[in-house]
Amino acid sequence: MSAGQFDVIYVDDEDDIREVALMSLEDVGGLSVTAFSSGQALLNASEPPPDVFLLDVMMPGMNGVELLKRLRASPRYQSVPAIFMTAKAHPAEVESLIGAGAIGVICKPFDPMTLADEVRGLLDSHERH
Amino acid sequence: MKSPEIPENEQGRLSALQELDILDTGREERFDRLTRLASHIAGTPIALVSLVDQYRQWFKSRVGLDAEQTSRDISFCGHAILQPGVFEVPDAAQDPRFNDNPLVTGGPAIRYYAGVPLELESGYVVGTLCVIDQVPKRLTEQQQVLLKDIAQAVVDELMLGNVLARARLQVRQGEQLRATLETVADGIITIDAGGIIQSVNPAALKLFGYQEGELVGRNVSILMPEPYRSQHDSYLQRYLQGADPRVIGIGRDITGARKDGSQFPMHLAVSEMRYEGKRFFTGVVHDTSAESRLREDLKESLELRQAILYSASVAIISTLPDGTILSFNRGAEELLGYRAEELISKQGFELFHDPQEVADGAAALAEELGRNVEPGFEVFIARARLGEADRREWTYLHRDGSRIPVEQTITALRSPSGAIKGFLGIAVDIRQRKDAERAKNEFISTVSHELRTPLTSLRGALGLLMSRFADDLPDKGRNLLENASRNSERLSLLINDILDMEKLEADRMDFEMTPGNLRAAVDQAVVSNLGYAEKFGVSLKLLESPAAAPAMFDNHRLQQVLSNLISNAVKFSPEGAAVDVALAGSGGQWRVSVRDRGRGIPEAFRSKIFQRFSQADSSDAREKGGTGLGLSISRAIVEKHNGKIGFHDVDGQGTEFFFLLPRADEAGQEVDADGLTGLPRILVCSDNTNVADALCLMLNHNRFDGDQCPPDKVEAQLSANEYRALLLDFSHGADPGLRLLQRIRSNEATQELPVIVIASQSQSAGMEARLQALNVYHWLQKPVDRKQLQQALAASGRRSQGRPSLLHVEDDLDVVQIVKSVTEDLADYDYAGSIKEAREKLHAQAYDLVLLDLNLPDGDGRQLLGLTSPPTRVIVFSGEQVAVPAEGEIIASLVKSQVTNESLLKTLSGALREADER
Repeated sequence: MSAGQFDVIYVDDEDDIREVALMSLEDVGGLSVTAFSSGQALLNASEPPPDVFLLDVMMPGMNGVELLKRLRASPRYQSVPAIFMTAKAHPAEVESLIGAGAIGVICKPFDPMTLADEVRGLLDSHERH
Repeated sequence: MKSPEIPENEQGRLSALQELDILDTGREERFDRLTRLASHIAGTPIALVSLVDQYRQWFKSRVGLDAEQTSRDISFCGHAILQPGVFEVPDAAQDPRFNDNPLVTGGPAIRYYAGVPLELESGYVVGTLCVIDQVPKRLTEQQQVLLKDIAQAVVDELMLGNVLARARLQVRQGEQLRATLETVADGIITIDAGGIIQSVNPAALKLFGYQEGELVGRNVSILMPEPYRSQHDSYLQRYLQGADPRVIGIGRDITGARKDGSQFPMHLAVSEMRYEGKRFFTGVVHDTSAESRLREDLKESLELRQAILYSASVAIISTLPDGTILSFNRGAEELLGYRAEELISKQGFELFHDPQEVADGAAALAEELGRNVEPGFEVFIARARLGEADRREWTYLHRDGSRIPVEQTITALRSPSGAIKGFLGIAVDIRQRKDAERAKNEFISTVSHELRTPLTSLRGALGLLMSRFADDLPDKGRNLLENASRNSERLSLLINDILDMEKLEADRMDFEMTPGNLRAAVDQAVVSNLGYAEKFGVSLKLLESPAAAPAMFDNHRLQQVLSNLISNAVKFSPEGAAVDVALAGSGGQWRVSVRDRGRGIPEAFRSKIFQRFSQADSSDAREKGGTGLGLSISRAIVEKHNGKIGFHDVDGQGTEFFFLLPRADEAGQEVDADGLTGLPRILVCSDNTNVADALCLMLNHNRFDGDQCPPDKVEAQLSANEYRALLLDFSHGADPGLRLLQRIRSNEATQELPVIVIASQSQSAGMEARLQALNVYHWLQKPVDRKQLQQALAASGRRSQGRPSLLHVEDDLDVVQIVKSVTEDLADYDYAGSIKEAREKLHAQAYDLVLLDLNLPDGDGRQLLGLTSPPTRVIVFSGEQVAVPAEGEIIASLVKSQVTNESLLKTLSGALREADER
């Protein structure tokens, strides 16, 4: 994996937010992103494992925490690090999301100009540990 | 013949004879040798020991006679026992007392009799020693003396036998007593005057843990713990010297000591007896451990209950069924500022309730229960009486006049048989909760307003960008701009909804209620949502609806409701499906419905659908975009219009949301639920308008309101309105009429609708069975007269066929409860609490019997007599002291205090059976 360039799989049910985040990660951050509108869609797609998952938490049907559990259960995605995105920015909430197995949490609303850097930073510090 | 007289001491004499225990015993030589001697000395062939019983003389011993007994009234001995000394009859044939005696005229042909009384020590004469001959004669002086001696010897023998019998009896009784002592559950201990145990029964041994033989001979004090053990001897001495009878004769609870030293609570009763000049004491002891434990537990639980009652920070008030306050805890004292003793025994509930709220509550309750509810205690307990816990918010008035919002829960206190013994009210002060709610709402309101300011510029700026510069942007840029604009719109909708919600909750939303045509409002909503529907590829249309639908409403707010329901339906419809809007009359209401063909509402979400921010999960993005507040706001708006909102599944093919608004007349006055006139409405269906007109006129006379319609419109009319009954004229033919009935019955809503068929004479043959098969029990032949029609209508209103029906007019609900349960198996029971209510019921339905209380809240029950034609039979059931005479329709009269449930049941079942046979 090169220093700045990596693959992201991104799941969010909100079309408008997905549009903005996608543009921010690809056009501003120069990352390669595959986006899905639901966890089920991702599980059905059998994509090759990315470098990191970026998962919205509040989604109808299967929420982000459940989705991560399912991903961890599959050998293919077992060891891929995951980052949650959430609009509920309570410290307790963040803590429980870390407890659910994420390497970091990004709070909404995110800054479109720095979203990719944030993802990159969380991934770097995870790899150093 | 002269029968012997009965001696004055006969009663005692007979007892003395009984005590000898000799009657009907066998022959004994000790008596026989004495009669042989008597016969020899007197020189007579016959000698007897005769015992005179109540109706006979019986011979314990006899010489020369076969008979064992003869009747007392012809006996010679009956005479002999009346005098002392020898009773001698020298020639019975010459004696007027005996010459016609059957013993003289027939066998044994007595001519001579001499009898000596057998007198016991007690002085009672139990019979005679007598001698008899068949020839006249006289005894010498010496013979008489000897006979007397023999008689005394007979008496001695009788007494001796008696002493033996007594001894045997005592032995028997002693054995019985011993057996009793062995088997009783209580311990029985006998001691002598020195406190030494004389006897102990097995129960006492077991109780104190000793073996047989271990206690007799020892001092009874070993059965007591210290200090009683050491004190017992001196205590007994004091008693024997005539003082301090603390135990004798009265029982008391003390402590016993077992052999192993353990102690137990027991009850001891001591009695004193004298036997052969000595004094003994018998103690009966009973282990009371179980009772003590129970008493202890009960005391604890009562104390706990008291403690809860008094320490509770909530107000707890209990009342009798009529509202008289029985208890008023400290929580209530603190909440209301009254002391318990000021309110106990008073009708206090109304005292601390806001009268306006009580009046409003009465009106709401009257509507809910469909009967008149007086503003008063009834308002609080009507629901509790139905078995629910009635939890509602009320405003209490503190003694100082301040208003306290509370949540009050009322439950009925019932006896094990279910009768209401009183009511329990629990009130919680919700001032803090209310304050917190208000603070939260104010905060939301402020925040939302503050948010609106920047949002306004944001929307404005984005709007300008979109209209002026969008074309100059690359696709990606334009998409972003549209995205931003769309979401700023959504945010402003959300903020508006939150503000609406807050206003509705704080009751600060203004409604401009004006009379208007609901149809126009529905049209407007459909038209303005056509574009939205088109965007989703959904066809939106208004089904056939009345052109005029007068109602009171705020059109602006109602549009909000309609748009919300329509846009929801559109969003959740598959592409190409139809959304149907409809408006129809339903009783005193208008019903507006919006029906979609979507997937329906998930079971788990149904209960939450009207809650704030509740949206069912959906992965289909186009179904979203709402704020989650729409239905919550819609419900609040409809309720402010005195309406109701709801939804239901349409057979798994989508969902129908609907709301009901009260109808109004032209002037905007809301009309009552039974239609424009307030009279029960009847649908009159006939091909022939003349017939229909005539029927409607008759109905009017009978105080019903008739609606007319032709046969092909009946079903539509029935589904759009509520009718008390259908009058169906078979003028368009019997077969089409029956087919129509079949369709009406196959509709669930009209399965039970009372139907009265009107048929011509030629149609009548065989009609009855066919109609009954369609659940129609009343039909009239043309020409119809008004009275027949009235009777058929009244009868058709009966709740069920076959069972007699009883109307109980009574304002005391305890009596209602009792009579209801007594008559449960007998008849359909209905009750009315006032003359007014009874009038309405008697008008709407025919009863077989009325059970009538006279003392009713709105007058004398006799006002109800003569109200129906033919008159309904009445049984007066009053609390008055004197029964009312049975005349006219009153067939019986019962006085409450003198009637048992059984006799009431008997009277009622008799009357109902008669009614049935009529």
